[in-house]
Amino acid sequence: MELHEELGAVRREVELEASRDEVWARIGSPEGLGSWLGDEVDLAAVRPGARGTIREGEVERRVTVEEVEPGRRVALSWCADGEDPSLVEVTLDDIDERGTRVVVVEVPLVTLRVATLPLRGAAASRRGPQMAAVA
Amino acid sequence: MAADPGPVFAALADPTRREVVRLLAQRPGLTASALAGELPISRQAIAKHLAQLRDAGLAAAEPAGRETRYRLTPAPMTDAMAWMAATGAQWDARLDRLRDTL
Repeated sequence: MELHEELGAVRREVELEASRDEVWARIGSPEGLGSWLGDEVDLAAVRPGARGTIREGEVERRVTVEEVEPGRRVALSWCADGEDPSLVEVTLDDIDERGTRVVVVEVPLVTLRVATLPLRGAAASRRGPQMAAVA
Repeated sequence: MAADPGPVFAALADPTRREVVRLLAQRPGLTASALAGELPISRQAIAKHLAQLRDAGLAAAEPAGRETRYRLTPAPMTDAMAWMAATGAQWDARLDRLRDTL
Protein backbone atom coordinates (compact mmCIF):
# COMPACT_ATOMS: atom_id res chain seq x y z
CA MET A 1 0.00 0.00 0.00
CA GLU A 2 3.01 2.27 0.03
CA LEU A 3 2.15 3.96 -3.23
CA HIS A 4 -1.41 4.72 -2.19
CA GLU A 5 -0.33 6.13 1.12
CA GLU A 6 1.97 8.51 -0.71
CA LEU A 7 -0.85 9.50 -2.99
CA GLY A 8 -3.43 10.45 -0.49
CA ALA A 9 -5.21 7.32 0.52
CA VAL A 10 -6.63 7.74 3.98
CA ARG A 11 -5.91 4.73 6.18
CA ARG A 12 -7.16 3.99 9.65
CA GLU A 13 -6.54 0.96 11.82
CA VAL A 14 -8.22 0.11 15.12
CA GLU A 15 -8.18 -2.92 17.40
CA LEU A 16 -11.51 -3.93 18.86
CA GLU A 17 -12.16 -6.27 21.80
CA ALA A 18 -14.64 -8.40 19.92
CA SER A 19 -14.47 -11.47 17.73
CA ARG A 20 -14.25 -11.12 13.98
CA ASP A 21 -17.79 -12.54 13.67
CA GLU A 22 -19.14 -9.91 16.06
CA VAL A 23 -17.47 -7.13 14.10
CA TRP A 24 -18.59 -8.60 10.78
CA ALA A 25 -22.19 -8.45 12.03
CA ARG A 26 -21.77 -4.62 11.89
CA ILE A 27 -20.35 -4.76 8.36
CA GLY A 28 -21.99 -7.60 6.46
CA SER A 29 -25.55 -6.25 6.57
CA PRO A 30 -27.18 -2.87 5.88
CA GLU A 31 -28.58 -2.80 9.44
CA GLY A 32 -25.11 -3.46 10.83
CA LEU A 33 -23.57 -0.70 8.72
CA GLY A 34 -26.39 1.61 9.81
CA SER A 35 -25.25 1.28 13.42
CA TRP A 36 -22.01 3.16 12.78
CA LEU A 37 -21.17 4.02 9.17
CA GLY A 38 -23.85 6.66 8.80
CA ASP A 39 -27.12 7.90 10.24
CA GLU A 40 -29.19 6.14 7.59
CA VAL A 41 -28.12 3.28 5.33
CA ASP A 42 -30.48 2.53 2.46
CA LEU A 43 -29.11 -0.59 0.80
CA ALA A 44 -30.86 -3.88 -0.04
CA ALA A 45 -27.94 -6.09 0.96
CA VAL A 46 -24.18 -6.12 1.34
CA ARG A 47 -23.44 -8.04 -1.83
CA PRO A 48 -21.47 -7.14 -4.95
CA GLY A 49 -23.36 -4.82 -7.27
CA ALA A 50 -25.89 -3.65 -4.66
CA ARG A 51 -26.53 0.09 -4.82
CA GLY A 52 -28.05 2.50 -2.38
CA THR A 53 -27.40 5.58 -0.29
CA ILE A 54 -25.72 6.35 2.99
CA ARG A 55 -26.64 9.57 4.77
CA GLU A 56 -24.27 10.95 7.35
CA GLY A 57 -25.37 14.26 8.85
CA GLU A 58 -26.16 16.45 5.87
CA VAL A 59 -24.06 14.47 3.42
CA GLU A 60 -25.72 11.79 1.33
CA ARG A 61 -23.49 9.45 -0.64
CA ARG A 62 -24.51 7.12 -3.40
CA VAL A 63 -22.90 3.79 -2.66
CA THR A 64 -22.16 0.63 -4.66
CA VAL A 65 -20.93 -2.57 -3.06
CA GLU A 66 -17.94 -3.66 -5.13
CA GLU A 67 -16.58 -6.77 -3.44
CA VAL A 68 -17.48 -8.87 -0.44
CA GLU A 69 -15.38 -11.55 1.22
CA PRO A 70 -17.77 -12.71 3.95
CA GLY A 71 -16.36 -12.34 7.43
CA ARG A 72 -13.25 -10.66 6.13
CA ARG A 73 -13.54 -7.71 3.76
CA VAL A 74 -15.92 -5.39 1.98
CA ALA A 75 -15.11 -2.83 -0.71
CA LEU A 76 -17.56 -0.04 -1.52
CA SER A 77 -17.39 2.85 -3.90
CA TRP A 78 -19.21 5.95 -2.81
CA CYS A 79 -19.75 9.44 -4.02
CA ALA A 80 -21.40 12.58 -2.62
CA ASP A 81 -22.86 15.21 -4.97
CA GLY A 82 -20.18 17.29 -6.60
CA GLU A 83 -17.35 15.05 -5.46
CA ASP A 84 -15.34 12.39 -7.24
CA PRO A 85 -16.11 8.82 -6.19
CA SER A 86 -13.77 7.10 -3.83
CA LEU A 87 -13.22 3.49 -2.97
CA VAL A 88 -13.56 2.35 0.62
CA GLU A 89 -12.16 -0.94 1.78
CA VAL A 90 -12.80 -2.36 5.24
CA THR A 91 -10.74 -5.41 6.21
CA LEU A 92 -10.95 -7.49 9.39
CA ASP A 93 -8.15 -9.60 10.86
CA ASP A 94 -7.99 -11.75 13.97
CA ILE A 95 -5.64 -10.63 16.68
CA ASP A 96 -4.66 -13.58 18.92
CA GLU A 97 -6.76 -13.60 22.09
CA ARG A 98 -7.27 -9.89 21.91
CA GLY A 99 -9.96 -9.37 19.33
CA THR A 100 -10.14 -7.98 15.83
CA ARG A 101 -8.15 -5.47 13.86
CA VAL A 102 -10.16 -3.26 11.52
CA VAL A 103 -8.33 -1.54 8.69
CA VAL A 104 -10.11 1.08 6.59
CA VAL A 105 -8.64 2.59 3.43
CA GLU A 106 -10.38 5.30 1.41
CA VAL A 107 -8.84 6.45 -1.86
CA PRO A 108 -10.28 8.61 -4.68
CA LEU A 109 -11.01 6.37 -7.66
CA VAL A 110 -9.27 8.65 -10.13
CA THR A 111 -6.06 8.21 -8.13
CA LEU A 112 -6.43 4.47 -8.15
CA ARG A 113 -6.84 4.30 -11.93
CA VAL A 114 -3.66 6.24 -12.53
CA ALA A 115 -1.74 4.51 -9.77
CA THR A 116 -2.52 1.06 -11.11
CA LEU A 117 -1.43 1.77 -14.68
CA PRO A 118 1.80 -0.07 -15.45
CA LEU A 119 4.59 2.07 -14.09
CA ARG A 120 8.18 1.85 -15.10
CA GLY A 121 10.97 0.63 -12.87
CA ALA A 122 10.72 0.11 -9.14
CA ALA A 123 7.39 1.86 -8.81
CA ALA A 124 5.70 -0.95 -10.72
CA SER A 125 5.99 -3.36 -7.81
CA ARG A 126 4.58 -0.96 -5.26
CA ARG A 127 0.87 -0.92 -6.02
CA GLY A 128 -1.58 -2.05 -3.38
CA PRO A 129 -2.59 -5.61 -4.13
CA GLN A 130 -6.23 -5.66 -3.03
CA MET A 131 -7.27 -2.17 -4.01
CA ALA A 132 -5.77 -2.66 -7.44
CA ALA A 133 -7.85 -5.78 -7.98
CA VAL A 134 -11.05 -3.82 -7.41
CA ALA A 135 -10.26 -0.90 -9.71
CA MET B 1 -15.53 20.26 2.64
CA ALA B 2 -12.16 20.51 0.94
CA ALA B 3 -11.93 20.77 -2.85
CA ASP B 4 -11.97 17.54 -4.79
CA PRO B 5 -8.49 15.99 -4.46
CA GLY B 6 -8.81 13.44 -7.27
CA PRO B 7 -7.06 15.37 -10.06
CA VAL B 8 -4.20 16.36 -7.76
CA PHE B 9 -3.57 12.81 -6.59
CA ALA B 10 -3.88 11.58 -10.16
CA ALA B 11 -1.34 14.15 -11.34
CA LEU B 12 1.05 13.11 -8.59
CA ALA B 13 0.54 9.40 -9.14
CA ASP B 14 3.17 9.34 -11.87
CA PRO B 15 6.81 9.19 -10.69
CA THR B 16 8.07 11.35 -13.57
CA ARG B 17 5.55 14.08 -12.76
CA ARG B 18 6.60 13.94 -9.12
CA GLU B 19 10.17 14.45 -10.33
CA VAL B 20 9.05 17.44 -12.42
CA VAL B 21 7.30 18.87 -9.35
CA ARG B 22 10.46 18.40 -7.29
CA LEU B 23 12.61 20.17 -9.89
CA LEU B 24 10.15 23.06 -10.21
CA ALA B 25 10.05 23.40 -6.43
CA GLN B 26 13.84 23.71 -6.34
CA ARG B 27 14.18 25.94 -9.39
CA PRO B 28 11.04 27.92 -10.23
CA GLY B 29 10.90 29.18 -13.79
CA LEU B 30 12.49 26.17 -15.49
CA THR B 31 11.61 25.74 -19.19
CA ALA B 32 10.49 22.47 -20.76
CA SER B 33 13.90 22.24 -22.48
CA ALA B 34 15.72 22.71 -19.18
CA LEU B 35 13.54 20.02 -17.59
CA ALA B 36 14.22 17.68 -20.51
CA GLY B 37 17.93 18.19 -19.82
CA GLU B 38 17.43 16.99 -16.24
CA LEU B 39 15.26 13.96 -16.92
CA PRO B 40 15.81 10.91 -19.11
CA ILE B 41 12.75 11.57 -21.29
CA SER B 42 12.00 13.61 -24.42
CA ARG B 43 10.94 17.24 -24.50
CA GLN B 44 7.56 16.10 -25.91
CA ALA B 45 7.04 13.78 -22.96
CA ILE B 46 7.95 16.63 -20.59
CA ALA B 47 5.42 18.88 -22.34
CA LYS B 48 2.72 16.25 -21.79
CA HIS B 49 3.54 15.95 -18.09
CA LEU B 50 3.58 19.74 -17.72
CA ALA B 51 0.15 19.94 -19.38
CA GLN B 52 -1.21 17.42 -16.89
CA LEU B 53 0.25 19.34 -13.97
CA ARG B 54 -1.34 22.53 -15.34
CA ASP B 55 -4.71 20.77 -15.75
CA ALA B 56 -4.55 19.73 -12.11
CA GLY B 57 -3.79 23.34 -11.16
CA LEU B 58 -0.35 22.41 -9.84
CA ALA B 59 1.76 24.38 -12.31
CA ALA B 60 1.47 27.64 -14.22
CA ALA B 61 3.13 28.64 -17.48
CA GLU B 62 4.60 32.06 -18.27
CA PRO B 63 5.83 32.98 -21.75
CA ALA B 64 9.44 34.14 -21.79
CA GLY B 65 10.54 35.02 -25.34
CA ARG B 66 10.32 31.90 -27.48
CA GLU B 67 10.27 29.65 -24.43
CA THR B 68 7.75 29.04 -21.67
CA ARG B 69 8.73 29.05 -18.04
CA TYR B 70 6.94 26.92 -15.47
CA ARG B 71 6.42 27.37 -11.77
CA LEU B 72 4.50 25.44 -9.13
CA THR B 73 1.13 26.63 -7.90
CA PRO B 74 0.81 24.43 -4.84
CA ALA B 75 -2.61 25.55 -3.53
CA PRO B 76 -4.39 22.41 -4.83
CA MET B 77 -1.92 20.29 -2.87
CA THR B 78 -3.02 22.10 0.25
CA ASP B 79 -6.63 21.31 -0.67
CA ALA B 80 -5.72 17.67 -1.18
CA MET B 81 -4.07 17.57 2.25
CA ALA B 82 -7.23 19.15 3.69
CA TRP B 83 -9.32 16.41 2.07
CA MET B 84 -7.11 13.78 3.66
CA ALA B 85 -7.40 15.42 7.07
CA ALA B 86 -11.20 15.78 6.81
CA THR B 87 -11.67 12.24 5.51
CA GLY B 88 -9.40 10.84 8.22
CA ALA B 89 -11.37 12.67 10.91
CA GLN B 90 -14.62 11.23 9.55
CA TRP B 91 -13.21 7.71 9.76
CA ASP B 92 -12.02 8.32 13.32
CA ALA B 93 -15.59 9.27 14.26
CA ARG B 94 -17.12 6.30 12.41
CA LEU B 95 -14.70 3.81 13.98
CA ASP B 96 -15.44 5.29 17.42
CA ARG B 97 -19.14 4.65 16.75
CA LEU B 98 -18.32 1.08 15.63
CA ARG B 99 -16.41 0.50 18.87
CA ASP B 100 -19.37 1.82 20.85
CA THR B 101 -21.76 -0.71 19.27
CA LEU B 102 -19.70 -3.68 20.47
